[in-house]
Amino acid sequence: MALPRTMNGNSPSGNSSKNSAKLQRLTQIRPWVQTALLGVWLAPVGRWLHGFPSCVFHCYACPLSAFACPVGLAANYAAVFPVWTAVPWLLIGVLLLVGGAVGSLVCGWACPFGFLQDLLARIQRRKWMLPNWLGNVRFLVLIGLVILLPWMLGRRGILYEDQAVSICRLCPAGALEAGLWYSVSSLMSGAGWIMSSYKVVILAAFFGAAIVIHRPWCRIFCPLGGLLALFNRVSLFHLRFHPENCIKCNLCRSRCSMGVKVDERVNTSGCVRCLECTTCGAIRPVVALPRGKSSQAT
Amino acid sequence: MLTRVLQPSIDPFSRPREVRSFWLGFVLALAGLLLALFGSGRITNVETVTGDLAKETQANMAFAHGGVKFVVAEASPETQPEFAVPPPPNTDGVPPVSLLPPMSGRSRLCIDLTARDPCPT
Repeated sequence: MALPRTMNGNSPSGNSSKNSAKLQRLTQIRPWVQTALLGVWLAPVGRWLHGFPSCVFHCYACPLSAFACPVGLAANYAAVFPVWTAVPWLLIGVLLLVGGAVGSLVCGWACPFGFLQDLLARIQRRKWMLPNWLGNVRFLVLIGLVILLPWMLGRRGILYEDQAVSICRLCPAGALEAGLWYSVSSLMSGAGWIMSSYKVVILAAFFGAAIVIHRPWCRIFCPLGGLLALFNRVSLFHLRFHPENCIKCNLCRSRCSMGVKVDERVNTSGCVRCLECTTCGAIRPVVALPRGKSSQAT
Repeated sequence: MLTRVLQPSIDPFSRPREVRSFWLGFVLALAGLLLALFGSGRITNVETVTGDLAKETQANMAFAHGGVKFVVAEASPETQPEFAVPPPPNTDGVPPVSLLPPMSGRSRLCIDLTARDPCPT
């Protein structure tokens, strides 16, 4: 593949071009890594691992889900907190571990729902650009729908699964992986369609949006992605900018489908760390080491 | 489809390199690891329908399978209100389950480890 070249004819140095080729290969293997990790989240091992939360967005009601959904667990704990005051240490631990180690890298490389949106984005349509401030809605969803609302309704004695409005009732992943599955099974067994009409509308809207917007759920609504992205500024794995390799081609920002202003900052909360911006070689994935050293992640 | 975004007038050498300290990320990840290890074996204050205390992993499992229920507390005949519906016969040692809200004063929130609801919501 041709190296990026600027209008004024600058080209990267020899070392940089080797790195660039290496990083290009890295982004090419991403779909394969995502596919391989489906084998972890959709492992046909039954539900005995449901006691352990995963670090990706994946409905625990899916017949093939191996782990529990961290968002669903958090909302359940919030709903029963007025009665039990039980703190989900395991869930907090898993999220802290993943966040502190890699930040939102799991969104770009491991999340099955993100992978589905990546696949839908491959449908050739003109993509809509979204303003970056919409990413803050994720934090409203996290605080409002995942913590405050279940807690408030839980205080009134309403169990999480009986709450008329909750993140699980509005979740397109739940509609796709559980609602659609059980509705089709029910229909085939002659018992009729069971998924509510508003969930069908949510699912249809999600599919439509994912074709014209790159990763709409991740960018606007995903509470887990929002939480993990908060760690992007402190996580051990991070992206580092090397000005000496920058040839001002702006390929980094052009390749960013999440709309992050990569030409200004890279480790932002809008980034899912798909590593597409690393292709030119000026931005590199690194792991922080003690005494200020860092090892290149590639 | 790659749409080129024009290069803004930013000097690459004036940009932050985004170098960071190892320790903050390390401490967070280590704290997470320790919490996860602690949490995976911890026994919570959450009661099961059989009266035992549940492990955190069991509570997580119950949440994923619709196992959170209000269970009617055992009451003596003297304190039993007249309008109360008699509980159904106890078949296998599991207390009867009802949907009475907690404010009725006769029910408590428990988890049922045997629940296998495929889709709680």
